[in-house]
Amino acid sequence: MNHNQQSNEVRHDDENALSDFLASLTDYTPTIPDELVEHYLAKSGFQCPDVRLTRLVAVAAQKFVSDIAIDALQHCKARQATVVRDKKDKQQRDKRLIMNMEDLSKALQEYGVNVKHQEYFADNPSAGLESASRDE
Amino acid sequence: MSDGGGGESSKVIESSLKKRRKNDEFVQAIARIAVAQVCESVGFQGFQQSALDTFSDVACKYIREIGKVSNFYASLAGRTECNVFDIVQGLEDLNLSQGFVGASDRDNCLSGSGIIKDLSQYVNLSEEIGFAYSIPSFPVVKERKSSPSFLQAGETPPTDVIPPWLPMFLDPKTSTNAPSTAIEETQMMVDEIEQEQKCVDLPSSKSDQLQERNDSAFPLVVEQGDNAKREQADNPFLAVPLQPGQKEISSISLPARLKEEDMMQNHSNHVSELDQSAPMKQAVNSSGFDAKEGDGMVVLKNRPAVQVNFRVSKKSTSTTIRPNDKGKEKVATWFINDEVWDEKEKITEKLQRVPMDIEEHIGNDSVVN
Repeated sequence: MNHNQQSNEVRHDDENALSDFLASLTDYTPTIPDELVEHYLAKSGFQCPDVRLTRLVAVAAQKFVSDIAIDALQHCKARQATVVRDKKDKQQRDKRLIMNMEDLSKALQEYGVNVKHQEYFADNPSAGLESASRDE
Repeated sequence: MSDGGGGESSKVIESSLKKRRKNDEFVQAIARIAVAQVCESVGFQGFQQSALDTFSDVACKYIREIGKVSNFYASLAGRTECNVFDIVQGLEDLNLSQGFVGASDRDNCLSGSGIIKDLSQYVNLSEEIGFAYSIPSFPVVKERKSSPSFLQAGETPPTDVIPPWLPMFLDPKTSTNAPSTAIEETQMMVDEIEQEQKCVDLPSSKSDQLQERNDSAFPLVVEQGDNAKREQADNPFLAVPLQPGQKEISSISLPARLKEEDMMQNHSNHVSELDQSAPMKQAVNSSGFDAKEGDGMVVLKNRPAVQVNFRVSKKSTSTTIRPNDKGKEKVATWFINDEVWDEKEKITEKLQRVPMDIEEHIGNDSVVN
C-alpha cells in the first residue's frame, strides 16, 4: 500500500516534468527548423498539429546529430594527433578541425549506421553522370 | 549505372530519380545548413562536402524514422494522430542500441522515460542556436486548373460516344484563330475610320480622293492593327518632310520589338510637335507647287505629304494642341466648321494633298505624353 502510494507520487512528478519540458519547448527554438521536421514527418505519415511535438522531434534529432558530431570530433582529434606525429611539416594545415568521411563513418557506426567510406568521390553531380553517359 | 537493363527503362528511372532529387533539393539544402550549424556548435571548423551530405542525409532519415515509429505506435493504439507517448516510445525504440536510463525496466511509465530526461538535460545545457535563415513554408502546392467537363460547361458532347463527364475539347479557335481575329479587328477599324471620315464631312470629291489615296495607306495600318499605339498610318513615305533649316533628330532608342516604321512615326511626330505652326500654314495654304505667294507663306517646293489619320475617340474634334494661337484656330475650325473649310477651299483652289498631321498629333497626345 505504502509502496503503491510512493510510486504514484513518482509518477505524478514524472508527469509534471514531462509537461514542464513540453511547455518549455514552446519557447525553445531548435537549430533544426520546424518546417524541415514537419516536412519529413509528414512524409513518414506522422500527423499531429501540436508544435511542441514537432519541437520534441526536432530536439531529439538535434541531440542525435550533436552526439554523433561530438563522437566524430573525438575521432578527428585522435586522427590529427597521429597525423601530426607522422608529418610535422603539415601542422598548419591540420590544425583546423574538419569533419572527414572517415571520422563520420566511425562515429555513425556506433549509432548503428553503416556508412562505407567511398573509394572515390565525385564532388559535383555532373561528374558521375558524364562518366555514366560515356559508358552507355 | 546500367546493369544490363534496357536503355530506355534505365533512362526512365534516372529521370524519375532526378525529379525526386529536384523536389528534395531545397529540403536537403536546409538540412545541410542545420546539420552544419549543429556541428559548428560542437566545435567543428570545416567539412568535407561528402561528409556533410552523408550526415545531413542520416539526420533526415532519423527524423523520418522517428515519424515512422511513432506513427506505428499511434496506429497500434488505434489512433491516427500521434501524441507524446508515441514519440517517446519511438525514441526509446530508436535509442535502444545506445541505451538510456531505465531502458532495462520495461514496466516504467513513458512519462518518466530516461529519454525525456536526457532530452531536457540536453535542452538545458546546449545553447540555443536558431536556424540561420528564415524559411518559407514548403512544399508549395500548385493548384492545378483542370479544364471543365461537358457536364460542368453545360454542353452536350458532339457525339454519343463521348460521355459527358469527360473534359471538354479545346476550342478550335484558340489554336487557329489568332491571325484571323487580328484581320477582323483591323477590318472593323477600317470601317470605323471610314465612318469617321464621313462624319468629318469633307467635300465629296475631296473625300473620295483622299479615300482613294488612303486605301493604299490602310493596309499598313491593318498589319499592326491590334496595337493601339500603331493606329497611326505608319508609312514612312507619307511622313512630314523636314523643313528647311531643320535637322534630323536622332531617334530615341526604342525596345527592339517596336518596328522601324514605328520609330519613323515617332520621329515625324517629334518634328511636328517642335515646329507646329509652319506645317499647319503649309497644310492650309500650300497646294502642291503653286501656293499663294501674296500671303507670305513659305512655298513648299517638294510634294507635300498626305497623312490622314482619324481616331475613333472623341478627342478628334477637341483641340488640345499647344502651339501658337493662329495654328490652333485653324486646326479647330478645320474640323468643326465646314463653312470655314469651304472658305479655305476657295482660297486654295487646288488644295488636294493636305498634310493633316494635326489630327495625328492629337492622337499622339495621349500616346506620347
